[in-house]
Amino acid sequence: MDSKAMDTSKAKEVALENMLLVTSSPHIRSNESVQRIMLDVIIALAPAIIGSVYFFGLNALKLILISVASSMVFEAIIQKIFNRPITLDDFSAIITGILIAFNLPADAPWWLPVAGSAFAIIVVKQFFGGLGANFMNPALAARAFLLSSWPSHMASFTGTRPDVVATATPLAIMKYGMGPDTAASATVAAATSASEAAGAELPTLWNMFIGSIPGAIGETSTLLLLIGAAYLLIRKVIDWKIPVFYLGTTFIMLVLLGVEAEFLSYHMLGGGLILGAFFMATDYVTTPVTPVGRIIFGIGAGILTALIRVKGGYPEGVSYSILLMNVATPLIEKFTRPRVFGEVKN
Amino acid sequence: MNETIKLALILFIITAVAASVLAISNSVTSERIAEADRLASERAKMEVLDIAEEFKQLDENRLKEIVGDNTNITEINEGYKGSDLVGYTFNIEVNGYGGPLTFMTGISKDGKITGIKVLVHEETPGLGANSTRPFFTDSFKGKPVDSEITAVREPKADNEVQALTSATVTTNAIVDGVNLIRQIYSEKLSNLEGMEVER
Amino acid sequence: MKLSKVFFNGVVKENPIFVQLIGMCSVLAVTTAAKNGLAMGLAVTGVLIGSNVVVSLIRKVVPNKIRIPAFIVVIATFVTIVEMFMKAYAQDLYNALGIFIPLIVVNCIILARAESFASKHGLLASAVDGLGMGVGYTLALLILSILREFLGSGSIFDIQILGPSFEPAIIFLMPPGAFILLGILIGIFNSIRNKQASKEVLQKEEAR
Repeated sequence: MDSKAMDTSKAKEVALENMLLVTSSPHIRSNESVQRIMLDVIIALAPAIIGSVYFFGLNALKLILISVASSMVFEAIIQKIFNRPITLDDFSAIITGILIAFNLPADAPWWLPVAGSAFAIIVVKQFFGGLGANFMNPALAARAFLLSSWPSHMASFTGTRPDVVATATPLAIMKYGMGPDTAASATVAAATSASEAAGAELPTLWNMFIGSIPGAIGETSTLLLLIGAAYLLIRKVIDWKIPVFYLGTTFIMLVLLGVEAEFLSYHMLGGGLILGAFFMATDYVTTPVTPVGRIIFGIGAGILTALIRVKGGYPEGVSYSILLMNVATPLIEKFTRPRVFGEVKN
Repeated sequence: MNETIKLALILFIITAVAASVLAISNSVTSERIAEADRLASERAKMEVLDIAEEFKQLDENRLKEIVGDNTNITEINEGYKGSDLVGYTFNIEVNGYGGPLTFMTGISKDGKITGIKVLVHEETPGLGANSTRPFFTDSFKGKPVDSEITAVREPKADNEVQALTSATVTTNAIVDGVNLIRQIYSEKLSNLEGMEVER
Repeated sequence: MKLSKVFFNGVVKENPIFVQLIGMCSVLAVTTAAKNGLAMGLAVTGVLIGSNVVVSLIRKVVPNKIRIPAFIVVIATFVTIVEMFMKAYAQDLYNALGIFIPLIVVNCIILARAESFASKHGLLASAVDGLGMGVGYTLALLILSILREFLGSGSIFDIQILGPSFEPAIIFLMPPGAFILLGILIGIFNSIRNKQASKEVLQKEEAR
């Protein structure tokens, strides 16, 4: 649990319940800090949003707008039904909306983000008690939901140029395009991209870095995501430990699993690794608060990501590994809780 | 000791009554079950080889002779219309995504696939389980046996069938199975027919 | 004890799925289509009534020490009879439900009712208890399977409801979708139940 976020939501409830009381300034200040944090995240995501529109066209912008709008609408509706204070002004629904859209292919139909944000906001976030109480990252849970519900829509990626109808992501090319028996290694969700991956060529590393490659809307541009991440790190909104240990462990595990050197950089720049490491694995609510816990979280997610990518059925494993570590977070926190001085061991 | 015997006796009586009740209900239903099983298999054969009216299962030895090492082909039936041999049906077990998958393929004597039908499967609902749907099975109808069959998203050519979206494993398992049957038919059965006709 | 009370105890107050949460394995597995859910519900209801009646009949002659094996034999007999008749007269359904028909033997609802109700009550009350529990089980399965079939295949009882432009969410045919929907249904069911319970308490207090 993040103490800051919790305190704020509690403080806010108190503030709302005592509307007629004149309260001293700490409430207002802490109230602002949640908004401020969320606003910082939105600012940090802005370069990637602009980049996605540049690379994938107006459909990307349309999907992002639909996703954000539907997230906010669902949040308001469900809070109204549950008789909870409506907390659209904490901006968290906006971020969930952006991140859901970032996980979609650019040619996804309009209802895909709507279904995703309904699942993220209603089932994952509000059923478990709203911001601060959700046990998983809502945007990633929505991605998992969409991937198993409509695999054909979620796994067909558009190229960045308008003349390319459908292509494979670099990860899919590495997974399916290299082996002699392409079809045999194909699995359910990746099947559509697998058939396209056979024979496709990997893009240049420079294109991988700036983001001019097939993939989900918001995950392709390493450069723009890193600019946003740097902003968050400078503003001390996120802690360096999870991303650094996550990326480091993924790299080491990929080497240990025998991934050839020339593909390593593709693995590090490709898929949702950068987006996941800096913007999703750093979520306050669903990751450990203790420093050691954060390191464990990063290492665990890194091991899982590399294992899924190299040994698993899917070409991409970032979302599932973060979700699995989300679920393990209470346990990690229990074991890494710093002992209060003078506490009796039992 | 006495109590033990008493308990055993009571339990014995209960099980004896249960067994006789089951015997009665078995005698009521067993014939119908056998009949229903026969009808179901007959219906499946009719479905994949609709030109035939009667089917005759090849015996063990003949089956072994034809399939050789391909023991995953578990049954072959000759289909007759009147006294004419019009085609064959093949039962084959392949490995699907969720486990073993058994399906039946019919091939007519003029070298065309007349239909396929999935009999037993454990595939994912909505994905691999769509292999039981007509849009998939019907796409095999009328394909010639002399060219390798491939599955594509939008079948156009004569040897292309409908691929199942996001269920490549299932699609490939069935297409590979059909190709194996196709091969065995061409090698072992199509020539034989000619010889029989000459005789 | 009033028989109607026994009946509604099974349907609402102690609904085996929504309240007691027992026998979940087959519930999650067979509810992919409304037809299967209904058939499974009816099969379980039949076994429940039969085993409750017989257990109630033999409750005085079966010594306490061997009551569990005796009950299991009774239950297994009824399940096998249901299985045979289903295979003979409704083979499609039998194929769809597969292994879960014989597994009714180990469904905890049935042994639980035999042990906690039928072995202590008379014939009629036991039969009504079996019926009530069976109806409660069937209703729960029916609601869950209708929702799952509608969301996952776009149809109800194999009748296509939405046009071809509706793209069903496959997750609802798979185990995670079953868990999510079941969780939501349990939440709704219990919030209604709680509201009614608190209403009853209020009425009682007013009556005083």
